[in-house]
Amino acid sequence: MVETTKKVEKQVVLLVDDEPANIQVLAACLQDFCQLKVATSGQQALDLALKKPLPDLILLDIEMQDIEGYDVCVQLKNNLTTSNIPIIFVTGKNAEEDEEKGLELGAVDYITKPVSSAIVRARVKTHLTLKHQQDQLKLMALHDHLTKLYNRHYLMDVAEKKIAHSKRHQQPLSLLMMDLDHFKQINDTHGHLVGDRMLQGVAKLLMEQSRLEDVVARFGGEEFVILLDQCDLTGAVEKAQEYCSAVEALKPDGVPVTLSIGAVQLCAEQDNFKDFMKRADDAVYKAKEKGRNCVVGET
Amino acid sequence: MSVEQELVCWDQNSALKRVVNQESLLVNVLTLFIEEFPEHLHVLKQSISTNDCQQAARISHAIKGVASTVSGLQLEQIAAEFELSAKQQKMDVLINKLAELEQIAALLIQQINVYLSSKIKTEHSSSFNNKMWLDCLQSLSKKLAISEYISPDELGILNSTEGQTESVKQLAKELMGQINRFENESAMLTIDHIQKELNNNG
Repeated sequence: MVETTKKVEKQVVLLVDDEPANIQVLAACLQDFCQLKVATSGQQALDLALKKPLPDLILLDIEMQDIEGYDVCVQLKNNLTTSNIPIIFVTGKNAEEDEEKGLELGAVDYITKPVSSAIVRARVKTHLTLKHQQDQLKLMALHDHLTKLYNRHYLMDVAEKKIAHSKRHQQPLSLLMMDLDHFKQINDTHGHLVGDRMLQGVAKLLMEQSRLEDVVARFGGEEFVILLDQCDLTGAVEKAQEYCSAVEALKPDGVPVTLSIGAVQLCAEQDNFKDFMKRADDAVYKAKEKGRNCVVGET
Repeated sequence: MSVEQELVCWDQNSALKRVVNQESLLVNVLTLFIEEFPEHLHVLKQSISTNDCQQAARISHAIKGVASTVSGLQLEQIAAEFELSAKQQKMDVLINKLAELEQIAALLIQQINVYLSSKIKTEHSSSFNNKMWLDCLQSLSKKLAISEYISPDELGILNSTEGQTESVKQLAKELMGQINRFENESAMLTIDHIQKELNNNG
């Protein structure tokens, strides 16, 4: 048999059932090839679906005391962060109309209790493989190969949407443009491998220090852009200063490196991403002029 | 009635197969069933006495689910009958058959207990020092914080309480129960208590 789900990191499966014995049985079937998270109520499932490590698959009971599994499914499908997590209902409700309802709500599969370990394993493996393939395709299309951050293509696409959303709801939106100082010199002195590892290290740090809803992208060679939702200029400058200090402390491969950052907040009269980026770019230029390793915030 | 008589009360082989033949996990699942069943039965009786059809259907559904999980075939069948009758608001069926359900459950629990007493290990003879205990507790704590599943095999050290104080032994037992029932917040508090005790004991 081909081991289709053999990966370096185990995929994460969230088990949701208000009967601990049922969870223990599912866990017994899956624990050798998945990382398992457990929720014993609908509300806990909704909370855990948003917390890292994010689940790759959810096994969801229907009859629960607080929120019915059907409602949990609807709420997960309506949230952009969780909408693409496949859901399998695992339930004692074995009528045809129950199954039909579950599948119509967007579940990928429906398993009735008592479960058969072989069937649960096989179906979970199939859906984890599909999820992995879907993630890989998305990763390749929308991410930068070296740093795994979003790429310029994705940034431009999502930024226009965020700008429109911010204007419509009159919520602040800020943008940080970052440039690694003297990167060419570092590449020339230490070689491209060190340079690449530096970009990867900085990218990892930016990701770790950002909120789930922030968009962190590699814009060009040594340029990064972060879109900060619901964040005004003061907040953006503070955040930028944190990134500056963190990168200064990083010293990947023992090589010191710093960031110059331009921070701007979207103005009501500004229409598009291009103008927004132009202002951020000017601010970075000023930060470089000021001697680098600093933040310039422009109104 | 004739079909019912053909079913075995407890299908041990099918239960073991469901947990991929891992006996330690089966012990865990059966223990949970035995611990939780009295509360389910209490709720069922309450819903019958207050004529609460909705509650009776819900709890019968839950009993059916756990009974099927442990392969308690007769209990699963009668609970399914209770669920259906409650949905149809035929509470008289539940009243008339409650004694039968209790009898079936008692027999199932008896058979499971016989199995458990042959499988549950007595206290391990090996002993672990405080450093090993603290390391184990720290790793459990990390997993609990992100609601990660902890398998019964990872709790082995908590069974090996030789050389520990009575208080630590008691807390370790409580902790195992809380982890198996996924009561993560209580489990993290218990870990704090054990850590304090171990640090005090040097």
